[in-house]
Amino acid sequence: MSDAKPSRLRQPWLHFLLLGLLLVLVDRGLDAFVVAEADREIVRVDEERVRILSSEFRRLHGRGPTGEELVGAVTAWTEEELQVREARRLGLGENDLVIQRRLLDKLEVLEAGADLGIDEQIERAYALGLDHEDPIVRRRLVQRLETYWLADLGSLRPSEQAVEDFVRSRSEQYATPARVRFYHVFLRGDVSSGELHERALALRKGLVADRVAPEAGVLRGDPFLLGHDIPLRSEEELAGSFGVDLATAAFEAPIDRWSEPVESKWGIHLVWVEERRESELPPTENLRLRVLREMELLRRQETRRLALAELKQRQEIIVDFDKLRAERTS
Amino acid sequence: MSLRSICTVALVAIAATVLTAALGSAESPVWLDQALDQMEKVPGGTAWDIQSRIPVAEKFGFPRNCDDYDFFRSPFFGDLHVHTSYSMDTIYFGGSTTADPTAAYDFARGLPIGLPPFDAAGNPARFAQLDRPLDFAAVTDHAEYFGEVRICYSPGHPGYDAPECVALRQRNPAAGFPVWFGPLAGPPGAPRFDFCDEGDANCLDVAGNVWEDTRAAAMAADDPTSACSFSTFVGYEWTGNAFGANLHRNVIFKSDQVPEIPVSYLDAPQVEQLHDSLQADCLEGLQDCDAVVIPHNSNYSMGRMFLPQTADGTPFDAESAARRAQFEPLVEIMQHKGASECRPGLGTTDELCAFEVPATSSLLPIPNPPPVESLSFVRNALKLGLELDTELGVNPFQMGFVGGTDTHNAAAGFTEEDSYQGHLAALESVLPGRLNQVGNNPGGLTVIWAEENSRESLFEALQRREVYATSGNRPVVRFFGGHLIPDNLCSLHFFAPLGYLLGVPMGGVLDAPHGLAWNRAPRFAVSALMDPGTSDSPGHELERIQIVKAWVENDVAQERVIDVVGGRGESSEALCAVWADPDYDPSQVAFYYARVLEVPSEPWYAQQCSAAGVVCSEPALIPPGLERCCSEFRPPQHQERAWTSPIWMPAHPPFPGHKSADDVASSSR
Repeated sequence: MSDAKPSRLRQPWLHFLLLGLLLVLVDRGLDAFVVAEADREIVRVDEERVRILSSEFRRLHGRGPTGEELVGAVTAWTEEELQVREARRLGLGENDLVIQRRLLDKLEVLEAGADLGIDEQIERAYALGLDHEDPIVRRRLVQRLETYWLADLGSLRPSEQAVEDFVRSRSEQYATPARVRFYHVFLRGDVSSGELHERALALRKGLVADRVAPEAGVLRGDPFLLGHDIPLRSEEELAGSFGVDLATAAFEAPIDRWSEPVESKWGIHLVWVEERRESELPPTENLRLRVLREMELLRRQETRRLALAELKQRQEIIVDFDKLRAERTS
Repeated sequence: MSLRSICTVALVAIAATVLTAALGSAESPVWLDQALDQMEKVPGGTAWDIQSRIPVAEKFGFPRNCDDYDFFRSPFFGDLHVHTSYSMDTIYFGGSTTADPTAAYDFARGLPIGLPPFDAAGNPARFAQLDRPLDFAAVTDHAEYFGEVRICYSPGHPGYDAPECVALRQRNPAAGFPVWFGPLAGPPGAPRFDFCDEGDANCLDVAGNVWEDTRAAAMAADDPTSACSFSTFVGYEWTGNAFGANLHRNVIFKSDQVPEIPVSYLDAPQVEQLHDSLQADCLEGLQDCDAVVIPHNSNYSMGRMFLPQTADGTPFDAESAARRAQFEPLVEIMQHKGASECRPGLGTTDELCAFEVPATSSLLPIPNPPPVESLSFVRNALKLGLELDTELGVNPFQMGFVGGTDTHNAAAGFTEEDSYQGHLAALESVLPGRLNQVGNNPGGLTVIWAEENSRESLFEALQRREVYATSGNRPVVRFFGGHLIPDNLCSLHFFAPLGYLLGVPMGGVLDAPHGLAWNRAPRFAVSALMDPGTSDSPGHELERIQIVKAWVENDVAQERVIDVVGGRGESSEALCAVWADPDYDPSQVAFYYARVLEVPSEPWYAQQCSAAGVVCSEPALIPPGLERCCSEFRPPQHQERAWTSPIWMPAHPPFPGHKSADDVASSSR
């Protein structure tokens, strides 16, 4: 028998300690699992619920839902149910006048003439469960919850930089299209006529030779009902008023020079482009109102989405979507 | 050069100097110098006559809101008659649109829209998109039942399961029409549905919410920036239909300052009650509130839209006639349910009146509709207005012309013949390759001549009637009348500037001049450009321009239609004419308007009837719904057109006590 001392790893006390520690961890882990289960509220969609939703669908649409439509109806109901429960948990329905009025109306139907004070009546209505499943109460609770979620948002006061960044991130949406401003000389006639084209070329030659300014040059042609001095317009706007051909030509014509003859439905034009502007973002000041509106909308949508997602994490929805899809209701 | 000519030139120069001074510039505007150089020297005319036609104060007093501001006005195209899911009949027509006012404005601005039928998940069966967005639009849902419709779609509301709501949600006309339209088509004064509770408070409360949503959608869609890309008007339809006669009117507000609840036919069953409500609740009750009331579909009114009496049967007197003129300066002469200009054989032999004629006189599906009445048509109403002017000193029917779609798919301005997909939900839905019936047409458009595309500028133009209607196409049309308009105006580069300077535009009232131009017949200058169309849908050339003249002779209104340029069988890309009335008699009240006709073209149904293999000689083989392919009311070709607002000429010297409608309107505001 050896007289060597056993290593620390082989010490019984260490083994005992490690075993104990293991037991504690397992126990705590189990407790954590059990605690999570207990904290997670169950939202169960049973056959009765599906029957009710199908019936409501039929009342609204005059026929029963398909499988996919049933899935949609169930999804909408579960989200509403999550919100209703949360609103109740937060006490958002207490002292709500809309809900109280609804409960009083329902109680009146059931127990007309009951000699009770308002508060007693409300208590009685709750005791009878008149708030359960009531669509007006549910809708109001959802509304109150949304207000609660949005209550801390406060006024949206983005900085100028934030507004500019927002606009730039959506520049396609906010940018004005490319635009052009031009004069045009108009010659009326049949565009298939060679004579008209010759007149146009001769006119152009004269305008160039005489160095005629465009505002005077337009008078050498024929009158045009929409005028000769066309302000900044996009290609789409020009096409709508002047036709596609002239609109395209205005965007391709040189600046500060008379173009070659361009045909339109009405005759031939010589175009003098004064200014061409690329697509640009308007001054932020012009967009501010529109941007604020959209930023607010997005902020609210995101707040609701995050809040609803957090609700879903805390609650478990039990529903067989495959079975719902397979449903065939008449 | 004669002494008279020298005097004329001198007087015109004086006018130019006055204008220059008014403009605040040391130099005469270039355009005016050039115009004066080019115009023929007009005999007669006094400085006063010319100066009185320089609306300088008016023009320079107008606030400028937009980057694009045209002193001599530009044309803006739009639709003032649009229905969305807020209207009860968009639901019971079936396959119903779910598009709300916001979706309608989005469509008008060029975004796509889903068209009925919709499935239960809200997915549309087809889509549409305008090739050319509109410049302005107004959603005009039926104010009757605003609240009721919303209640019928609010589960849990006490009214949700009411029989009327159940009928509405069935979404078919057989169930919905008798319940929802029936009360509007019977004797006036029908009560609201029982579920509206005592005093209708419940339904009116909810109606207020719907109206606020309507207003909010219009405000959100209106471009408030100086780009002025799109304008909207807050509006609704008053659906008067007593005893089956269509007396419908659209109410278009000037601004977002509007009454809390729109006054519907259920609340005000007589049109005078509507006017009184607007006077009290809008003009007098709210700052910056004003409105125009636009009657439509007189073709279905059984002659009752333009009777010379108030709704209770009292013949017009000067006051009631003036009130009608004040609130109703416009009429919708063209829309989805037909044209209401005129009808051959009813006060006219004008064959071109046979355009988009409904087959019956009644909107109601009654077995023996009454015969069509003469006063169902706008031209006859205008003529009656002249007669009443001579009698009362006021013309109650001094109305300019607008066009609209009356779409019930929220598809504002969707007037293309080539791609027409119906306007009446499932009643005009699409079978493969075609509509399920040959019914109504794609509708018309309103074109407003205004300084800029702002609500204020457009509304002022509506009130002064400087507007014209089209049958859905987009020709550009100008119309001026004046004693001093030169005969060579069409060859000048200043058609509009000189038109304004020397005359009045469409919708105006042309007083006889004083002085040396006393005996000069009025000239009417009209110029039109054909609609260029789009790549997919090219425009059609112009055939001719006509002027329709009416006057009172021996107490009876007469009419005459004159081809002033172009002619039957001709075609041109642009037309212009200055026409002098050879029969001008200053002692006669008269009006003149221009009608611009395109060359004949194929209507929307012609292709579909052909594609469906309809052979009219074999009626037994015609597919169901296409029987009207062979109707006399559906010719194989038609002529799209535009109608300018008239120019009126009071008698000169004026009848005792005569007041122009504009005088009346301005004194009432």
